[in-house]
Amino acid sequence: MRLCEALALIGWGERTALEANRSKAINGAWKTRIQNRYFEPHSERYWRSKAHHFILEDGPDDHDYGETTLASQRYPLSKAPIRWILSGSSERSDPQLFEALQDLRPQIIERLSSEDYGDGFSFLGLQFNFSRHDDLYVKEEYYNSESDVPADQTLKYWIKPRLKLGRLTQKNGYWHVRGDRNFTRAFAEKTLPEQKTILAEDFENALTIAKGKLKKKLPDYDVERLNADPQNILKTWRAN
Amino acid sequence: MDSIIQTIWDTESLTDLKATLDVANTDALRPKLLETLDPLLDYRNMRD
Repeated sequence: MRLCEALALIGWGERTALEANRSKAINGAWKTRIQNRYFEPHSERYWRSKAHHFILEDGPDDHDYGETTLASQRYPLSKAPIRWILSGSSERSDPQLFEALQDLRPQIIERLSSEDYGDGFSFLGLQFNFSRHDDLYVKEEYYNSESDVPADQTLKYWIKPRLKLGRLTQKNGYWHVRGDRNFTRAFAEKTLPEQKTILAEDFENALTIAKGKLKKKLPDYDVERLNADPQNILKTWRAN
Repeated sequence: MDSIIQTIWDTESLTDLKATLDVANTDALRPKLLETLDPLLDYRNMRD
């Protein structure tokens, strides 16, 4: 981590820049990942704790090599300023939309970089939560308002706002904002072109909200261009 | 280990790390950092 951090600060020269990150996997194991600015992994390793140190899950032995902390580098590479993750049910419940979003992702990642608009902003991150009304295992659905719930509703349901962004948060000198977009059954029942149109509007709305927050904290950051550039990508994406 | 690599290794604060690198000869330091990093990338890739 320290070496990647130092190289990020002085520049990697002709070598592909890499970034070291630590996270916790769903099973509770610590994961370390070395990736490039396109989020492509160079390596991913899992660790478990033993007494006061960490050992590699697939390591050659249980010897204590002195790994007492695992950390992410604090000076990140400039990467895509717009990111999203999909709720677990999305691939199963709407494979066409899932595929369309997977097609969009590399276009955003390859063409946009947060440092192109100034210093100090890292990303807008959206969690896309899809209604699980047709899920094989956990059936429940989302509504954006109590008044939308039909009288004969039988499935368990949740009232969640259509789009909600959290506070602008600073970490190691970089600001980011996270939010949720909650999709209803009505969205799921639309055609793919209709869904793409709605999603493009959602990205635009989220960026507009983020713009308002960023203007106060980072007046020199080019939020207008940050809002405009994705629109060109989304326009092409919607048309295909 | 080269003394500046050791210093980087031991520097906890990001501000201090930046200060160390600000006065370093980066063209000379870069290959040293990469030489130290490369073996770790293949095995113990997140050693602090």
